[in-house]
Amino acid sequence: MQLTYGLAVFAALSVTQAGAQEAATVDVRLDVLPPSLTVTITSAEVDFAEQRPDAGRVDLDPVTGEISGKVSGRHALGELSLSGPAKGAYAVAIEPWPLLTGAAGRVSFGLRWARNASCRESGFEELSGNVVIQGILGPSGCTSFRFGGAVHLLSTPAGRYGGRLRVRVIPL
Amino acid sequence: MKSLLCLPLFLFVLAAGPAHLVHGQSSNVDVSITLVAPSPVCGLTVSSDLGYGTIQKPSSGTGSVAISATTGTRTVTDVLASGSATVGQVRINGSNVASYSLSRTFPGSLTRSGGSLGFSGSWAQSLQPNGSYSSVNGSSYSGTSRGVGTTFTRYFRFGGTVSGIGLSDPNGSYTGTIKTSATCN
Repeated sequence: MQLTYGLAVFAALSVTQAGAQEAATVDVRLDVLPPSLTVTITSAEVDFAEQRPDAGRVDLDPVTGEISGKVSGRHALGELSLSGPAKGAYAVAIEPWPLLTGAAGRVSFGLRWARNASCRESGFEELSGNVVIQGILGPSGCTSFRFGGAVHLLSTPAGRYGGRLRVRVIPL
Repeated sequence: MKSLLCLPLFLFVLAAGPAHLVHGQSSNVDVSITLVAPSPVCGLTVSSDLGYGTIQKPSSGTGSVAISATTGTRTVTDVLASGSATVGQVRINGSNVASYSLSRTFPGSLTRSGGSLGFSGSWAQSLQPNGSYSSVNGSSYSGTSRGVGTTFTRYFRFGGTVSGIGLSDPNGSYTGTIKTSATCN
């Protein structure tokens, strides 16, 4: 005889599940250097382009970048920037070359320069009459200078005239 | 975790043995059941450490540098930063997980020989590695997943502010460690 048992089993089961744990570390690093000024020369020449021999006073404006009386050619301002930590103190001293010299003679030169306190494209202010200025870097940590000037051309012999403008940057 | 599961199991045992039994007799049948419950598994992976790059100390006063845990961007106050900055990032993933938590411990300062700088940490979480991160308050974060048979991944970013950086602080590399731990159930 064959019997069949149908068993309904209700099981109360205790299941142990172990929680998983993991650990990791994130490294943090900061490198600290002493304050310093970085000088970047954007344009190393002041160029008055081609002028008439009797142009009179020719101005290369360091604020606007415009030049007066130009006949032709490219004109250019000298430009440099200083960068460093905010509140970094500096001095800039100019030793202007009073005369531009050429094979045919000399041309008098007067410096005009301007400063932008935040290295923006606009916002330059002329530093009239100063050859040494001191400053403190603002929150942007950057300031820039443009150099132009004025030359006087009265019956000036044709030729090319040049000189050198010495700029000293001193961290304070 | 120990959990009590009530499972209705309907077992039908077909006894095909010799026909010794007669009508009216009974028999005990031992039933042995082995249940394998998948254990929760989770892992922590550090994708990137928290790096501030290089800063120059201010000439006077103090400055600070911060990296946002939510955006990963670096901002400075009265110091000059250079080099790349990286936000700290950790990924937690797991399987068979119903709930999980991640806790962190920030260092109080970054140190080097002869010096220390104050550190205040922050962190944030997201479902995507480069998605939108939300700030996490407190020292732990708890989340849920869908339990057995499923997987999950969540991303955490770590940032913070290093403050009080002055001219008298020694030059060099300041370091610290953010400790994280995860529990998955």
